[in-house]
Amino acid sequence: MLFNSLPFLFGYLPLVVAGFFLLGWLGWVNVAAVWLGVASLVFYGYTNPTYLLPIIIVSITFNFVAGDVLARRPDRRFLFFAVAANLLLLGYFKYADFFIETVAPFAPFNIAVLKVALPIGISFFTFTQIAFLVDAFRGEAREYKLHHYVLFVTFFPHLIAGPILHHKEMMPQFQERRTYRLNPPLFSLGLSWFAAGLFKKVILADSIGGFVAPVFDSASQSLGFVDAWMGVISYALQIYFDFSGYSDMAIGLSLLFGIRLPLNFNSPYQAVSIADFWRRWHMTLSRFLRDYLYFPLGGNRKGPARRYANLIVTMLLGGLWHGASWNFVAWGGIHGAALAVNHFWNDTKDRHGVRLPSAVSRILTLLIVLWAWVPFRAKTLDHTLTIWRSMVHVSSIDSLRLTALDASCVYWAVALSGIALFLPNTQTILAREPVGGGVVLRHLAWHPKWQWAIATGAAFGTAVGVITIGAASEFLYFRF
Amino acid sequence: MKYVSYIALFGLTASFAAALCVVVLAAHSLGRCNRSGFGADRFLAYCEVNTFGNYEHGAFYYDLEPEAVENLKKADVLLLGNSRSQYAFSSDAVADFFGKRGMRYFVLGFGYAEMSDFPLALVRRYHLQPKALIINADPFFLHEQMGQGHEIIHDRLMLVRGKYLFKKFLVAISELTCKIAPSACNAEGRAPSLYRSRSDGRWEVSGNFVGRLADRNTPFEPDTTPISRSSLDQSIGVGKEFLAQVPVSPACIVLTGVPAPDYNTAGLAAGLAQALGVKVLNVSVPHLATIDRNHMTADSVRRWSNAFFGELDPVLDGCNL
Repeated sequence: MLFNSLPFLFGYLPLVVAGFFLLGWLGWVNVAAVWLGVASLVFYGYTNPTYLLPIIIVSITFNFVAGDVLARRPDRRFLFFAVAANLLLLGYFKYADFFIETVAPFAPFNIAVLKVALPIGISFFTFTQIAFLVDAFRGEAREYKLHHYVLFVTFFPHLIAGPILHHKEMMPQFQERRTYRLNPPLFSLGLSWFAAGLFKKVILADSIGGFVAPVFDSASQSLGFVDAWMGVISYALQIYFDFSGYSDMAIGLSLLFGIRLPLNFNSPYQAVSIADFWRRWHMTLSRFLRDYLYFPLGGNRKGPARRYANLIVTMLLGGLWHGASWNFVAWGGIHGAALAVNHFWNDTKDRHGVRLPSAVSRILTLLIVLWAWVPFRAKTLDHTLTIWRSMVHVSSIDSLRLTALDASCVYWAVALSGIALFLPNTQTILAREPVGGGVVLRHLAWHPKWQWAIATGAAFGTAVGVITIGAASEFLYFRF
Repeated sequence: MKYVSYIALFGLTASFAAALCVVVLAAHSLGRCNRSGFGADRFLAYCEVNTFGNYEHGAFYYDLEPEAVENLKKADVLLLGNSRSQYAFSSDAVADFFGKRGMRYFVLGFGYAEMSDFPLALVRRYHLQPKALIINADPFFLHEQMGQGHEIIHDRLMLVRGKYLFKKFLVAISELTCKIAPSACNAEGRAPSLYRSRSDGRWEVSGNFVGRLADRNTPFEPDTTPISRSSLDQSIGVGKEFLAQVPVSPACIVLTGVPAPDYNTAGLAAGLAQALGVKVLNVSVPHLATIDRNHMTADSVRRWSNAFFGELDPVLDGCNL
């Protein structure tokens, strides 16, 4: 089920919210938690229950039992077994065919691909639970009730595409009785977050998304210089507004239930370095990779060379997490290498007292990010190379004109770039963090005033109008 | 401001914005409809944009085009069938034939492969009393389990009526926009459309429903594969039910089969006519072609309908029109 679909907005969501608070009002908080957990499973299995539900139920049951065992008796071998079981599950569904396609040309006999359908959200709920197992082994996860654990994993706002949650930030909220009573201030704030996210997705991301396919889907032929750049910029804006819109909606939906999710985006295209970019883009994935991969690999504790190698390995695996394809490996490799260069530069400039102007470092960062989005979106490495060549090669005067794309893409790109590069983000406006930016911004920050009710209501209504006329489009991150 | 008021104002604004957005976008999308077939006597029966689609079913059933329904009620002859018959009977030959005889006619076929249930519902709803029927048995006598007509007939909650009323509202806004700013309405709009005469129900095809040029003139030989006994029996049963409810003398009912490349329409018409005790007229015209491997080209329609109406007079002998 999609957040931006009418059955969700006007059927599922009101029913689940009403049921949850009715049960909470009656004092049946455990039943309310079960209600929300079951509703989340319905949300997850909506399109294909017989295929999806057994997978997630087996995964949850196994990890709850394994976590309980590890919490009572930490055993490194059992942890290894439990994590390996999770990775095997993920590997089978996500990487088996990629592995077969990679080794088949070298095999002495024919190997057929398995054509395994990727269960939606499997990367997210598997990573969430691996973190839980590791923390249980470290003694950082206390014993939890099964229905709270089910809710922690399945809670529908984050289940499909994150944020990737940590049990420590969720379980206490599920255990608090006041969570189960309607909290009008949080509910109002949640509506505003949700409206902002829905508007980002439906109006901004889907609009500029129309200019992406003509470039990336025709990349088997040569492209014009301007077409290639506009296609890549359009994709960079589409994926940002799409995924940050989804994250805003997830945060907003959670607030309706009185539950706070961690932030996932913080104006990533305003980053002054690649390291800064990764502190702002998909922040909960960065946190996971840092805590459960980069640090265990040794982090920066074993010298610069090992640090750079750890960064590259972490990002290569981060790339593979997004999908079983060499394109994602290339994307991760570019970011890993850029992070290594970034840290090398930081060390060098500190020694020599050299400093790049902020504008230059922002532009360099953006260029690297844009360059890396090409393999992330392109269908094949050949397509990637075609687009990269077009981005650096002016073959004729015609290539300086838009030919594959409608001219309106320029207006969209300018407008959306302005928002992404210069305007405050959702959490700044909705005051989840201290509002900076002087008097004007403080004045603009969200309050439960009629102006904000009208503004967010209009954003929500406009998006709903567009959904009603067209069809709900999937979120880009659902495929990861 | 109290939070309850905040949430209420949010909801009110959202409802208003959503409604406004739907109306504006839907009306705007009608600007993409090809208007080359537009005329004062015609209404927009169909436009291939996802905000509009089919309108003619609701227009007739819910009396949203009163002039068209009035003319339908007055018709002496109804020409029934599906989209193939709408193409075939939307010709000058129809107007000439009935015009010369001073008879009122109405071409009451429908797209979406509509069968006999929906026209029968119209006959009952408006107590239609035509003196003669010309039916393209293409097949026609079958019960529909889904589709536009089925949706309307089984609309218990009047929700479908609301949908068609909304479409009428959109057309009104769109026409107003076209009057105020003609440049906003593109006669050569990309979305193909069908306009329908309020006087006699004939279609005027606007724009190109066929994407590939190569498919726009495909010669064909009418299918002559024998009709299976079970198909024929099924149609006979529904045909008997239909004719029992339409007060027309069997001598004034003519079945035909508009030629088609993938179905023996003439064979079905002949078999049905024999079983139902009504008349049949199948004409043979050489070198026919379709625009889309389904509906005849304008030239084929002209030649086929000339031939059909050229032979219709003797067939109607014994029918006191």
